[in-house]
Amino acid sequence: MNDLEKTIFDIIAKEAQIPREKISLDATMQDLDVHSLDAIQVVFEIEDRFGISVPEQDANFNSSTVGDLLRSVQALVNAKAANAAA
Amino acid sequence: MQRPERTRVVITGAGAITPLGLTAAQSWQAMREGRSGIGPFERLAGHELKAPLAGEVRGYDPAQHFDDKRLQLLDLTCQYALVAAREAVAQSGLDLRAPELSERSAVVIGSGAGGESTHDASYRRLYAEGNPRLHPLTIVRLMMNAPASQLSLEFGARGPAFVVSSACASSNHALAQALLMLRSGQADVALAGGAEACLTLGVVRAWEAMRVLADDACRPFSKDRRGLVLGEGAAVFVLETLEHAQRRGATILAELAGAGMSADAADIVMPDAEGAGRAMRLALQDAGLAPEQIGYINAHGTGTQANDATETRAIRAVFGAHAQALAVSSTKSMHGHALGAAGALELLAVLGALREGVLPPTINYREADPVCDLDVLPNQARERRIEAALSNSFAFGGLNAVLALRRWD
Repeated sequence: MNDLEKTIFDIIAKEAQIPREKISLDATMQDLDVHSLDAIQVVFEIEDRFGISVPEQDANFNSSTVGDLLRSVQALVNAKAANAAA
Repeated sequence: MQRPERTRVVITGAGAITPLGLTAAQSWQAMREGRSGIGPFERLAGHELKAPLAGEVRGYDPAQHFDDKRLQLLDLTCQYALVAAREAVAQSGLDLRAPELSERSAVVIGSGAGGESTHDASYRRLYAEGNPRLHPLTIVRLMMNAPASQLSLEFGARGPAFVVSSACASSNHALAQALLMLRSGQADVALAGGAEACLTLGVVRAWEAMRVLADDACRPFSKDRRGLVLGEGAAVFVLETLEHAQRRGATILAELAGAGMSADAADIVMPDAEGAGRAMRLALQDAGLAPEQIGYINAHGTGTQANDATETRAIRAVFGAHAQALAVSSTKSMHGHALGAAGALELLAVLGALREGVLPPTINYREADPVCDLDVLPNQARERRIEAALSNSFAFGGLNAVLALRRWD
């Protein structure tokens, strides 16, 4: 598990108050019973931690999986790093 | 429904300043024509916004309404409230300062956020500019009760006066409260409605963080709806007891026949069909109206996935088979969500529908949604003479207020 994955799992566990071992890459927010108000707090914490902005259309909390979220965050973090290097 | 004779309450004046126009007449005309008042967010141009659109009041020049000295006292919320109230009082033909009327005149204004532009300017001085000194009138500008106080001062209304706050239901709660005071005999006349002017960076960022703002358009009930669009403005109405209005030969615009209020006690943000439905039922009961008498509902219809589906379920539960026959629209598609002023702006739509027999549309509608399967007047107004209508407001925090209006011939 890389640092990004670990951070995101930690945030979900804390904001949604669910045991960390229940979280997996293929679980959806719905599977994890993460309600919308908790889900937007998860995204807020991620945005704040990494200094990124997750677009609205990526925040389809019910159908996307933790893995989807991880991939879009990774892409945003990479884009930010590329911008900083340029 | 049999009920003892009781005081009836009618509307004899309407005034407004909205994203659709600087008067009630202009605003209603735009709704009738299905014109949008939503556009690029001009006041926050230069800030990168996730949802760069809003229903802003456009073309408003404070200097045309207030001198410099007066303006120093007035947050934008109060300015809007005063502009709307002047139009309403002028239409009613009442002089609230008259000795027999002054103490019998109430003011009840709804506002969700209060003096946000004053907060914004003050914090900018303190934190951004490092200036420790605030304007001495900061408190009187931003106090939550300011719109009620300013209206009372302006018109010499010396009866009960206050502001009520219940987020997006504030205006309907204010109008309901005024109705109850007139019925109970605590006043003969009331200025009631709502005012909101909170399109500041701080407020918009807070809404952004909730991820409920649409970035394309406000499309209530359409399957591809993406959320709400913020609006602002004010609408104020002159309410009178029927007896008072008839005695002076006033022109009656409609009867405010009843109000229903409820709390969900369910979730701080998610809407609840039971609470919403209960407020509608109570409004019908209070007005002595059967569900079949309702021809039009001005929906809360914010354009969020959750609200529109839940409101549809609530309407179906209350109206049964008649839900197919009545028309429902969300004029928020045109003026945006004016939050604490929403119910007041939407009462303009209901008055227009009752008086002119034209039901305003839900614009930006593109795709039917099975969970919003009502006759939502997509994109086109419809001519239909109706006897009575409801206006729904359901607030964050689960606070609901529904008004019932009856046509006056």
